Amino acid sequence: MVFAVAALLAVWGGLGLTLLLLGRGGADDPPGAGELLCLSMLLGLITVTGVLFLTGLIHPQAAIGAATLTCAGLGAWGVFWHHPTLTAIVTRSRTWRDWAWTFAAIIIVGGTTAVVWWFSRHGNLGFDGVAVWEIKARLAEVHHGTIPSGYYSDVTRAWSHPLYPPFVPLAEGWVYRWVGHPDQQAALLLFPVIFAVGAGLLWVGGRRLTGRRLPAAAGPLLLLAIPLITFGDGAASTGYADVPLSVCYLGAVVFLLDHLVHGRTSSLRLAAALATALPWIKQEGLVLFGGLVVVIVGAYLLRERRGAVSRATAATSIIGFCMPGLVVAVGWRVFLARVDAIEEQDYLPYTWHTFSGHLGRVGTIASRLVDELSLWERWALLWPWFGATAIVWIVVRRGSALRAAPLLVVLPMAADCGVYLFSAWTPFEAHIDSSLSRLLLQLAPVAVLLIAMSLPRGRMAPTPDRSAITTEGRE
Amino acid sequence: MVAPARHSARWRLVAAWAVWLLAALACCGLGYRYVHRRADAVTPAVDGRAATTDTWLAWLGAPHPTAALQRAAAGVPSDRSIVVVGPADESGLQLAYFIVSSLAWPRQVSLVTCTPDSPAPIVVVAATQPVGGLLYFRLEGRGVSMRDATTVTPIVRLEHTGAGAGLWCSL
Repeated sequence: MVFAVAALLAVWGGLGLTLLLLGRGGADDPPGAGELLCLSMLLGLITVTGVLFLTGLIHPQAAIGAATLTCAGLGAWGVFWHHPTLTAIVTRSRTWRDWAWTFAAIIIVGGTTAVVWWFSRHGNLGFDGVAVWEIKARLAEVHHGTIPSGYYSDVTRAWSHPLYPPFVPLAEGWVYRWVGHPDQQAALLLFPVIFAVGAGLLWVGGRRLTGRRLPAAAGPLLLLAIPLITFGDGAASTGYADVPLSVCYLGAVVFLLDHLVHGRTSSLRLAAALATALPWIKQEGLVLFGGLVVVIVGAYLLRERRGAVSRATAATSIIGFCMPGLVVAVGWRVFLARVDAIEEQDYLPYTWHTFSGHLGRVGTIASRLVDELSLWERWALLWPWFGATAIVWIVVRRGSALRAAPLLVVLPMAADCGVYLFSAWTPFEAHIDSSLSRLLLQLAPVAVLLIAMSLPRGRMAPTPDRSAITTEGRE
Repeated sequence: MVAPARHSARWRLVAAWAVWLLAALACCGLGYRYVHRRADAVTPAVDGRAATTDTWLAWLGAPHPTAALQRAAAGVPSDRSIVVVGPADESGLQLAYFIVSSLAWPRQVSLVTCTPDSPAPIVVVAATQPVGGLLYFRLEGRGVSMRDATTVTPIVRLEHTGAGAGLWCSL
């Protein structure tokens, strides 16, 4: 019950933020109710953790109060200033077919989430779920919802990765503060909720990017077919940060592609907000953020060269997308330096000397990657299918704004593998074995989205993304 | 000339549908089978606030080991560290150390392991705070003194001490 209050408060704040990001155009082109709910949950948790952290820097005793007031205020601000958007969602005329698909969405998203929820209820947190994330949530629970700065420089707790960003522990700590005590079962409940957001965003992405409902319905069903998303280290039932990171990345990808295809500036704002949270959830989020930056910069440079957008528009969009995420990533490093956080020994210095000295590892890394991608008990047929889809995609979608979409999986995958060149583990293969599956898990929902979008059309009609348009002047 | 082109496009569409559906069936069939198999193998978790850590600490032989360790840690002054001492070959010791460390804030928690063959204990994790308590895991009869010792679980006892960290080499 109290868990529901904590979640609803976050959703209320997230709803306000989502409506503000949608802007006045939200009423003309209103999102679906499910879409609004998914974004509200995700942005709400991001808001809560951000406020807890920032208030903790100034006056930790006020952190929970500040987060509560922010959520209440943000929700009220968004709802009252942008109530036409909510009104448009409620009063939109719906056919019986719309209602049938809404019912199907509830059954599919609810059913897939129920499976993950079952595993959460009958299982335990994973090792990292306790030793890396929950330990900090416990500190937050006894420290007014924030992590005490002394923790980061505590030599006896260096094993718990103090350098990792605090999204997950602060979200769990938020729940603990509301529940009144640390409760590992309550912490576990957060993750099926985040999975539900991921399944919902797959529906949203399929619908928005293809204009059809079948790909939307296929996405969540295919997501559940990945065994590692349900159980095992990193799964949504084990309290790791990888599923929240993958869901946030999926959201950023959906709205970035929507912006590139349909030119909605509100989608760019939503994509930027979700991309900003990537380095806030986990260090690897920076790699995912980098993938998004490469795609948006590439897309705008091509458009600017073709004269589809002005140089000023391209620059504004790119800077507007990149700056918030960079501020978060740099801000986190500055904070760690300020609190004398203990440096971790997992990686060697990122220098040319290290890189060139370890090029001999490339063969082993590639071999381990191929072995991992073909582990059916973790991935079923996801990766071979994605590989085939990506090749066909790039060939078939010539001239489409979505042509580069497979890069959003391939580039981070390459970067994730490249990081092992700098691994300080001995042997470094142990580092790959312990983490590669989780790095791939962060990309899996986006791979599923692209596979679902590749579902052939029912009739021989042009795909909507062929009409890639300019991004100027459309909300 | 138009009709054959449309005809061929239609067959391409049918083929694309067939390939996609076959792949989806294979992927979902395989994936759901693994999920179902795993669901059959799940052992029901312990109930309670500390469900996970209680499961991991079941070997300590107490009904609610996490709460017991938390109470023990709370008995040590908050500006003193706790030393977890246990046999190096005890497989659950490191996990227990992590859990004690997560429960004992703001106290630092260090880890010392002992082996029957080695005269000196091995300091795995060292603290900088002065020592306020020793948590012995499966080491009956060890320690500087049995005074002020508290039984935490049947195989864990807490010994309050004001001794410095350097003394652990004399165990």
